[in-house]
Amino acid sequence: QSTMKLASATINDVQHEWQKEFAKEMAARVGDAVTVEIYPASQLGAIPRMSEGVLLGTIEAFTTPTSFMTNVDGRFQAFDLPGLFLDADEVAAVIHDAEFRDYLETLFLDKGLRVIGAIYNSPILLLSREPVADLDAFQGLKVRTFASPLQMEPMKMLGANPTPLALSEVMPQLQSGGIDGMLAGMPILTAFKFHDAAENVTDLNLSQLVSLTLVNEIWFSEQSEEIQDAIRAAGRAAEQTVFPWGVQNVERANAAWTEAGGKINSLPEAQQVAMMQGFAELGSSLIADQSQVVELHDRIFAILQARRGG
Amino acid sequence: MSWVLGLSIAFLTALGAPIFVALLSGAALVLLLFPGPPLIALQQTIFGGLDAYALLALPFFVFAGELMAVSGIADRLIGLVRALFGRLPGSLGIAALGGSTLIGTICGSSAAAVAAVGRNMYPQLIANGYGQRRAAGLITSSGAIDIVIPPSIAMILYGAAAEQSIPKLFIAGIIPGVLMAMMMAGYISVSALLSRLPREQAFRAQIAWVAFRQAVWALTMPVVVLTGIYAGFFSPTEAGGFACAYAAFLGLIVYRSITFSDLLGAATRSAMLTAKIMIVVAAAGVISWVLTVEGIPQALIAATAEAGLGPLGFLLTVNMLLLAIGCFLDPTSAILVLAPLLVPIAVSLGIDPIHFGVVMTVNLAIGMFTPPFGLNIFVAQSVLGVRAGEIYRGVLPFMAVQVSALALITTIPALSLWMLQGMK
Amino acid sequence: MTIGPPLAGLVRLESLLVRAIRLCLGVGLIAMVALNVINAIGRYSGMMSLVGADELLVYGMIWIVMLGAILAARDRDHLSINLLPAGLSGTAATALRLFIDLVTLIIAGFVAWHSAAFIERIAMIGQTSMGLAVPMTVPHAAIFVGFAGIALVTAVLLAADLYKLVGKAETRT
Ligand code: NA
Ligand code: NA
Repeated sequence: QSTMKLASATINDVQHEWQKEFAKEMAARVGDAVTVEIYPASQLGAIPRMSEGVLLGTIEAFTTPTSFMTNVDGRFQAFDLPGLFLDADEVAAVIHDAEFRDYLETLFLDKGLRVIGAIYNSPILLLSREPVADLDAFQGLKVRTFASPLQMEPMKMLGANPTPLALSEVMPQLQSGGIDGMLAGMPILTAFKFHDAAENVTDLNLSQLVSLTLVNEIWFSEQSEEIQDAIRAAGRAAEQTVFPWGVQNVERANAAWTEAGGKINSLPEAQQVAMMQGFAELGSSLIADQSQVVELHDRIFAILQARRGG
Repeated sequence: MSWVLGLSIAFLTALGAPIFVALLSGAALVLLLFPGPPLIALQQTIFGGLDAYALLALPFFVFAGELMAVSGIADRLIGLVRALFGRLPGSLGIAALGGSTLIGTICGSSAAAVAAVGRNMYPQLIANGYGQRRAAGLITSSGAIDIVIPPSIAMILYGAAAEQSIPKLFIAGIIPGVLMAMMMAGYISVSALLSRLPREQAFRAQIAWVAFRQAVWALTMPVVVLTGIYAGFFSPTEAGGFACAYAAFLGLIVYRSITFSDLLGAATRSAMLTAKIMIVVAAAGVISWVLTVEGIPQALIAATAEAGLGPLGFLLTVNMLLLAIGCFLDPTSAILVLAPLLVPIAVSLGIDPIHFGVVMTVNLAIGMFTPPFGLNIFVAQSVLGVRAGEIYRGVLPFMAVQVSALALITTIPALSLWMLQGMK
Repeated sequence: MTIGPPLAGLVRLESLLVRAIRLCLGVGLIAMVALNVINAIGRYSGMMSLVGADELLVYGMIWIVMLGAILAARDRDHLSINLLPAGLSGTAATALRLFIDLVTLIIAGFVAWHSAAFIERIAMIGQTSMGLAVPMTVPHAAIFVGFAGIALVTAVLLAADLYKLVGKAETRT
């Protein structure tokens, strides 16, 4: 009998939902042979600690947006390229593609990590104090981003001023006007009630957040074959179940946002199309010198092209 | 298991072992006796306890307090308060309380306030007949107000863990924080009157004017820091850095009261105090992690939920629970672990989650100075050079005052929620 | 009793090292304040955003904490409840101090041991920090250095106390 601790930074979102579904699926398959314990809301430490934890086996599994794993392996960037996915269905088409999913499961084994869940999370939006309804409004805008070129360079391209900032400082700085906006997914914005600090959101479609559940491979390989199969099957079943839940969760979050007095703006159609094209070109150029990332990106892109063409 | 943990920590602490040694020994013992996660997790949790940007407020505000002391900024501010209000009973005690509250409006760390105010006000209080016990008790307990008055690291963490609006929590903390300060001020005045502490001369405009002129530059310090935060020039954590820079500017250039070597000396002393405080914070983080992975808070809370209490009974139970937990954990780790578990129960009982956040914050703030354990006590002991026994006895009356304030804040939700009515 | 030349040399070296660490702590904190102020001004004015400034500040703080903790252990100046030690004197006080030192030595050594194991593995994986892209071994090593240092200075204190105790016992007989 073994214990499987599942950690994540958030709560009551699609990552948490996947973990709950996974626990149910596991119980149905192997009963109490594996005790699945869920620790949402960073209860086992901040994101870098959870990432180290799953790498070293102090926690068994960690559900996280790929963008928080890029310092472990550059290939995690491939999902975060600006302009790569147009919508949730495109993400689903890739991560639930049978062949790609098999490839993804073992892709990070050289880092001691196995992918047991691939989850559509949410699109990245711009939250801002003032409405941003056309490209001119980006000029000089101080936007909080991750300290990653995949977020900073697109902001620079639009004329904004990307400003990485520690998470604990974002809310007070947003309230006082020290920064003008930030990049985030809508479920995060509504969960933390960001509308009290800034009420405008622009649907940039910059990128689609993909979350993965990573399991420590050493722990995994110590399990019996039956349990290994159960974990793999439970993870895949859970990700199928939570995909519609996740899409609806984004819609629920959007509705909650407007209900709380927030506004959702969009750019004029022509500008949006031009921007997406710019993002896509920028995205490819940002990874050009990393052949492994390019390889993964090309696989993703091939699936998308086949789908778009058909 | 929690007995092994509690007893080993209590035993070693009572013997006088360093607090961090007591905490880590307890954690190590549990991990060895009840094998769970690999022991390398110790490194991860100790490091994790320190790897938080908001913690920078501590070294910065400790350094700022040290600079205010060596450069004479604090003396000038205290001189002004005495010239204006010296005739009132307990004026100097209220000045210390006011200093702590003022630091509270620019900083969210209670230990930093105890260190800064203690460094500046304790000698003055002693020189004016307050006595070790009362002076130490006053300074150790005043720090609690700082986590209730915005900005507050504890509330930011509650907001994140319980999915509540941080701005609303900040606003909800204002009246409770002021209430705590006023009740403390009332107690200080009455007790000063009763014990016939010497009063100073009556107010004289000429003396007040001289004191004011001497304090003009010093008075700009809180103004600069507060304006900076609320105008967005810098974040609340960065405000600590600006407070240091501004105090150094006043001391080196305006008053010419310190030299570069004084500056370096102050920095070294502040770094040492920071080290002694933060290693305890990191060790407390390990305890909180051990408790979490062993399922202790979850079990406690399940028991609370099953007891079938009404809203008031629940709040009172939670208060008792948190005051006890505040003995071992610092508010930051306690909130991260407990808020996600407690808030759903509170909401199901019809308790407003913002009100609940304020109750939790006040509670853990008080826990930081209640005997026998509490970060503020350890800091006061080190900064003031007073024995723990004296601090224990000194904080008791103030504990009574703040627990009364907590009772009011718990039973009258309007104290927290009234200012939010204007907001949508 | 006179101290032989090799021991005197060691004592001089130790005091030099302590002074160097103290200087590092003071200068380090001042540098952190400067970096914090420059970063905030740069961000507010929109002139520059120092990527990784927040990491540098936090990692600097962690190193300051762990180096400072070694010095505090050397001076037996860590935060503690001093009721009992202050009430004891003579042999009882010495015995209590020996016991506390022993526990400190064991736990600090225990943490340092597991810390080393952690760092070895994180080095193998090659994880880097998000902003500065420094190997994560650099900030993590602070914990190892701190606890190993605490163990070392406590071992010396313990040895010195034992030596004194034995000396006392011998003069009595
Ligand atoms: Na505060
Ligand atoms: Na306490």
